[in-house]
Formats: sequence, C-alpha cells, structure tokens
Amino acid sequence: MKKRIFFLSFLGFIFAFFLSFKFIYGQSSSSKTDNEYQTFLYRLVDINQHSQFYLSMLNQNRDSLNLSSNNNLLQALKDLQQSRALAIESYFIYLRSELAKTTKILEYQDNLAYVYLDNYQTEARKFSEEIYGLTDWKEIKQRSLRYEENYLSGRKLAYRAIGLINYKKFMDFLSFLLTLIEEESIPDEENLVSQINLIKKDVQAQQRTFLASVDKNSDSQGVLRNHNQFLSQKKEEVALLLKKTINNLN
Amino acid sequence: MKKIQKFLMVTSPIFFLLILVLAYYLTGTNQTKLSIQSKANVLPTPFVFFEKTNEDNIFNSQTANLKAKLADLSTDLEKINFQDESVFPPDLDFQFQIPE
Repeated sequence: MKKRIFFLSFLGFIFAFFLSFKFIYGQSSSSKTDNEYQTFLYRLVDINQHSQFYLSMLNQNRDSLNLSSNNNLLQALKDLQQSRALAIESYFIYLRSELAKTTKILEYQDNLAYVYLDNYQTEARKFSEEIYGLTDWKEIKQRSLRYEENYLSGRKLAYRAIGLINYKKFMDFLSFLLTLIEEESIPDEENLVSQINLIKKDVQAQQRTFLASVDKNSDSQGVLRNHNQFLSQKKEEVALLLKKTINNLN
Repeated sequence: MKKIQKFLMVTSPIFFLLILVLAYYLTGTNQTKLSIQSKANVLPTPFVFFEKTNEDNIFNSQTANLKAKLADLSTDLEKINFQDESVFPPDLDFQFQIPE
C-alpha cells in the first residue's frame, strides 16, 4: 500500500514539475516581444528628452557658439543620435521577432526579409557605438547621413514586414475558421465555405500585389496603408458572415 | 537504499503539493478563473426529462456549443487590428543642423 502511494505521488510530482515548467516557459516567451516593444517605446521617450536637451543647449550657446570648443553641445548631439539609433535597434528587434512567428508560411524571399531586418538591427547598433568615438562635427554629420540612408531602406523593409505579419494573422484566422466549419459540420446556409474561400483568394491576390509594389514604390507607407485597409474590409466581410451564421443557428 | 526510499516516500507528496501551489500562482489565479468561466459557458446543458426528448437536448446543447465557438471567433476577429499605426517604423530624422 505504502509503495503504491509512494509510486503515485512520485508520478504526480514529475507530472506537476513538467506542467509548471511548461506554464513558466509559455509565459516568459509570450511576454518577450511585449518587452521588446516596451523598450522601443521607452527609447522614443528618451529621444524626446535628449532632443529637448540638445535644443536648450543650442539656445544657451547661441551667442557664444564656438563649434571646435563647445564640448557640451557636441556631447548632447552625440547622445541624441545614439538614442535614435538605439530606438531603431529595438524597433527592428521587435519587428524581427514578430516576423519570426510567421516563418512557417513564408517563402524564400520573405525569409530573406527576416535576414535583412537582422542586418538593419546590427547596423543601428554599430552606428550607436561608433558615434561616441567621433570628436569632430563634420565626421558626425557624415556618419549620420550615411546611417540615415541606410535607415530609409530599412524602413521600406519594415513596412513590408508589417504587411506580412498582418497577412499571416488573417490567413491563420481564416484557416482556423474553415477547419472549425469542417469539423463541426456547421449548416452551410450562407455558403460560408465558398465565401470564405473567395475572400481567401482575394487576400492572396492582394498580398502578391503588395509584395510586388511595397519596396519599389516611393511611398511605401501609403502602399501599406492601402493593404491594411483592404484587409480591414475583408475582416468586416468575414465578421458579417459569422454574424449571419450565428443568427441562422438560432 | 531503504533510507533513500523512506526519504523519497516522505518528501515526494510534499513536493507534489508545493509544485502544484507554485504552478497555480505562477500561471495567475485570475487567468485560471477566467478560463474556467469561459469553459463553463461552453459546457453542454444538463438533460431535462420533462417535455423534450433526449435527442432534442443533445441537438440543443450542440447548437449552443457551436454558437459559443463562433461567438468566440467573432471576438477574436474583432481584436485583430490591421490599421494599428503605432507599429509603423519611427520617423526619426538623422540629418541635423550644425549651428552656423
């Protein structure tokens, strides 16, 4: 009897141990991206403070401005540039981890986008470290201009990544809905399956157009806005279909 | 060997309880309560043997189940916000004016 109690409690112990591990691990991995996004937001606040500091230094020194000797002003400017680069670094880390969740459906070109995001993140880190070593105004300006160009191409890729993340979210939802309809054999009075499949095809076609134009268009932000608007419209259509199906079940 | 066996016999139930308590608190009591509540909504309604037959009740509970699932999906869909521009890349100008 004692042996049996011992054996059962031992089994229970091992089960509880693994269960608690699973929960703890699950919680930490889900909050990871939130933390990265929070870091990015904190850094944006940091930039605001640095910008104000830089401007106040400029105002104070306006009358007796001597660039070669004004160390405080130079330092304020370097701090500002570094904060900007660090904010961008954490932004790319956040976006990369969000995109990493979508790799299951991504094709080669989009895996490449993931690698590029990685490069832009490294570039931001490099810039934030380099800027501190510079002592000359001209050097700082040249390096900043080079980094600005780099960031502008990185920004285009960021718009592309956001479009991909949204597409993945919607397609996942539609696939889940179709599986549910199939498993639960929901009465198809509204031709739910065929309508959802049509929406799915529309979204896939839109995604191809988006991917073809987002990098090449000068207004990448506008292209992403249109893409998001399209997804929202389709979302409303699905919501309406769901509502009708629920009403039909009454 | 017997000493180890005896030690394990005494300590393992204590560990078991401890880990259970730990897991309960780490996973968040509120969340657990919420998930129990949401499951309660999905549970089939108990059979009533008055006017309706068993088959009617089974059919009703299945429909209620289905409706709850679809309603959950609608809520999930509402939560997806495609037009959230807070995740757009920051517009940080690196070009600065060197004071003249």
